Amino acid sequence: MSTLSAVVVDAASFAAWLFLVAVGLTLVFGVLRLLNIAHGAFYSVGAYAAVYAIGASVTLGWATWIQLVAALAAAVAIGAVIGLLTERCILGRLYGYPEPLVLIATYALFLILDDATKLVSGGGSLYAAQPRDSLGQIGIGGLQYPVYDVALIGVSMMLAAIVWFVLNRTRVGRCVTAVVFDSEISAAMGIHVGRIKTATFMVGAALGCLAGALTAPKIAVSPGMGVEVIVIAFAVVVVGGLGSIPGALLGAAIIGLARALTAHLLPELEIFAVYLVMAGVLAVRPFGLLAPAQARRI
Amino acid sequence: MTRRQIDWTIATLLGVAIAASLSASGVPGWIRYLGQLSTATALTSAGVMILLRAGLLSFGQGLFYFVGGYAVALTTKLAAITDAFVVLLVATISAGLVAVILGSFLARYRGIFFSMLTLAVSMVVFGIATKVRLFGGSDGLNIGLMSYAGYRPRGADAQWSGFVFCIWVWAAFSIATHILLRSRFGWLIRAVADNEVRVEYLGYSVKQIVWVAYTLAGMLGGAGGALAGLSARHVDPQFAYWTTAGDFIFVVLLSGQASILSPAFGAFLLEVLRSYASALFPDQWQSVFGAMMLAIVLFLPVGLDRLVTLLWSMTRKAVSRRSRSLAGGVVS
Amino acid sequence: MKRTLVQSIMSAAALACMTGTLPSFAAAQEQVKIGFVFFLSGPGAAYGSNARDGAKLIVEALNAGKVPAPYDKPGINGLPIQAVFVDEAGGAQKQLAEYRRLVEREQVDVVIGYNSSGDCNAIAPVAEELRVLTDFFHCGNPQLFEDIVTEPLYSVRTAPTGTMDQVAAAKYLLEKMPGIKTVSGINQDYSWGQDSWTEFKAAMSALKPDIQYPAASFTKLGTSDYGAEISTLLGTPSEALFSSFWGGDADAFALQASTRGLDQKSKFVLTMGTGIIDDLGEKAIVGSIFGARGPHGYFARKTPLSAWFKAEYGKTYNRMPPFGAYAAAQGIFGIKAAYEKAAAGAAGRQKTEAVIAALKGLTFDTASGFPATMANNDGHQAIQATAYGVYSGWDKARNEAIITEVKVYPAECVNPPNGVRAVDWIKSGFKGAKC
Repeated sequence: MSTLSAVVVDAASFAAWLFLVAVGLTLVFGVLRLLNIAHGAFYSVGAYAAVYAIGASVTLGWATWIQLVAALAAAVAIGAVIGLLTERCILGRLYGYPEPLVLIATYALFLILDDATKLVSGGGSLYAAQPRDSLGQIGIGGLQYPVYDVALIGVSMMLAAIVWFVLNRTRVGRCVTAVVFDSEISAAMGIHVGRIKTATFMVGAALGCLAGALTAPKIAVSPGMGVEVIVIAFAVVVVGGLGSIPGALLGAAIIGLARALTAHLLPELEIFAVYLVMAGVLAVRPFGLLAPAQARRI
Repeated sequence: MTRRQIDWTIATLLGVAIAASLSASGVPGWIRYLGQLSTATALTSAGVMILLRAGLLSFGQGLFYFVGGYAVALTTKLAAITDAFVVLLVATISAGLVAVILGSFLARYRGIFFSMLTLAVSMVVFGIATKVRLFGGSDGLNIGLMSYAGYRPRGADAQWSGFVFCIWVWAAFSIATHILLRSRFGWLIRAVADNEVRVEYLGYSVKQIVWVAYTLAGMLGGAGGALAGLSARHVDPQFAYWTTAGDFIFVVLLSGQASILSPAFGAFLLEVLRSYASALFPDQWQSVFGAMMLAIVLFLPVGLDRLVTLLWSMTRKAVSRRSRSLAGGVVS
Repeated sequence: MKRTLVQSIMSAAALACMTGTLPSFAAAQEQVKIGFVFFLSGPGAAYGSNARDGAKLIVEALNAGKVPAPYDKPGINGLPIQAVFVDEAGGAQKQLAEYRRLVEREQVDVVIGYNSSGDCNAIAPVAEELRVLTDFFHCGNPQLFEDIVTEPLYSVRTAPTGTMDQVAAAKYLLEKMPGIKTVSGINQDYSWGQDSWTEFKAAMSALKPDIQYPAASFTKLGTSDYGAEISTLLGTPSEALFSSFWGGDADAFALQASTRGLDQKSKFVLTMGTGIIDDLGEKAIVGSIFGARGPHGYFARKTPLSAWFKAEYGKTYNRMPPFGAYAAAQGIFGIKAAYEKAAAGAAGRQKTEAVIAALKGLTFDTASGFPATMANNDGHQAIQATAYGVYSGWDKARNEAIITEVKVYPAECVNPPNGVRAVDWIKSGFKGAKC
């Protein structure tokens, strides 16, 4: 009984984290049609930003919620700036190039940013556990969980709702959706496609940094943390269907559940649970679970 | 003039192989080793290039590299066979078999889904390999010294003969692949990338073409992995990790896809770049490496081979102009 | 089109320049050149950057002749040391290329480095072939000299194997909790974690055959979220939890486990634990059993040399030296001691073979105050005493951890005797151990 509730909570908590990491990636893919490997680096940049912001707010003696707001604001701001620079200086020049080439450009960016975080912080690990510690514990099904981790599930759901609302219920969101479907027609209809793309990439990068910032209090922020994240985020996005926000949610749920189940019941399989799920889903539904149908070109 | 056309690619391959073998003993060992690694990377990347010509980006080429490397390690360990030709054959065939099996199912996929699925399969294998005792876990396996059809070099000779072996295996596989790519099948691969439906209307099965191309890529990856294994005398699960596959993709993008020579050129450049980046910037080699990658993508997106092709066609034009004017002179 | 062509040529020219203008380090005759290979990027940097800091400090101090006795002779045998640093990240294949470059291009006299057992296994045969004294300063796998290079000539290891850590951990745990019945483990899913758990289990069972192991989790290197593992361990709590985590993984796990109260249910045994104290400071788990992969840092015995090292490191880097720094210092000191023994008072450079002959069986002083002896595997493998203790709080005044109940295990007690395989020795019930 307690195993069941533990599996559910662990799965939800892991899935929430997966969604945070994946949502920016899938958004960027939807609009710009590029698989952004640098997303992993955005994640670690965000985590570093959060560590410094939380560190500064703790020194200043600010309250927990201000620490968190400072961390998120710092991460989002840095993410947006890096996103803007990347899109304008690098990716903007590569639209229309073959996909693999753009992929490599983002990989190069990943290597550079990953090293840059090391340059700023040195080789060791950094911590920002204060907000998580001060929020305390909550008992669920006989086990203790930090309030922070449980709250992340809510944050993640909220983020999903916001993104869905913006895309489906606002003017800007409809413009973005139009660009996703056909950027040429959208341009003809008077939508500033270039600006939409830049803005989307900025939001995507900011979401990547946000994910890092929200995770930072739980972990040791250390060099090279982006490598693992990016493959797992890819898996989530691909399972759910590239470019689909509800897909990312579903993908995160499935992979989160798979990992929690294997960790509890079959620890031997945990190391490749994610990839087994990915291979399994793609074998049955090649375009992912919730991908929009695509026409075959003739 | 009905003079038989020389195939310059084959001529260059043979020329490079002969030049490399002759100069082998005069080159410092560490450069020879970089050369050996380059041949391994070149063959494996050639597989990526073939698939890329069909419009498919494989993020799982590391899998065949892994199969090739471990085939060498396990045949030497379990069957006590140390003949380089035999283990190379075993590696190529086992990688080919794995590719035939996986290809039957992967040949249906296109675009990013093909990339992701190849990545997933390769990562599952990576995960299994770090667990299995037979494979030496994450430490991998060491491989002893090789013999070459009865010749058993030791000490300094071992490295030298390993180098020559790698060079000639690379040349032989490259020539074979080149001939295949020059054939009708080679052109069909490109046609798949252009328009699958048209290919089907011409009476060919797209799935079969992709399947064969995938198998070919797998065999090349297996041969490359075998060369890497017997050069490094060590294999580990990292071979199947996605970043290894990323290196092969980088090689192809760096060098372009004009000919079978391109990945060889790119592979050597990659090894040299990496070696110098880490020698000059031990702390920041990753970002230096990344910056160079970015510079190439931004300023030379078609790949470095475009430069060579341009120079080549310019000299050819100049030569043919001169010979034409000479011929004209004779006639008049 | 034209513009791209010009750009292309320019970038190609730039590349050509980069490969053309290589700094050529002409090997000066009268110096000792050492190649240091530590993790400078990736997750391993958490550890390798400390080793680099330590090596740099020792090399500079030795060259300036500032190190106390017995290492007060400047440099190595009076010759200045020139250090070349290389990043260990990037996999064994890259390391082989880097190793050959160090030896054949940089022409180093000695290589000190390698933390990953995979890299050690790959490099050792090449070290034998190229005949360069190579000190695998801190990888812990006994298999290096048991299976990979069984008759080492040029490969040495100045740090004891990981067997010592597991055996001492088991002994310490049983001394603290003699009635213990259950131990669980959480380790990283690669050789270090797998081997550590296997050896620890073997040692526990040898000491107390009726012990149970209810759960054994293995996580991927670089995992950030341990929620599911912690739930599992909380669900079926054992009396003790063994972990060989290091670097960021160890810190993240410690943070997440302590907030969820796992340390209240199970006693933690952390073989690389002092790394967590170095990183987390007072947030490290109070009451847990900590090791340092040797008698380093908080376990160091006070000698003029160890006191100097601690003070100097603190002055330079403003912190307690982490165990990576001790291991790097130990590597340099071992080579220096052997080099000077081989010279026997004569000045100038010595032959590699003479240095290795001098190193065999040598006992040399280390920065931790406990001497190391090159006792095993024909004098190529060091043994050393080790220590475990309990972290019991933070001394705010001195800004240091308080480690209590320190117990030192002599080298012959926790290391296998010469010529016996580590696993066989453990299974035999530590035959020949002198405690």
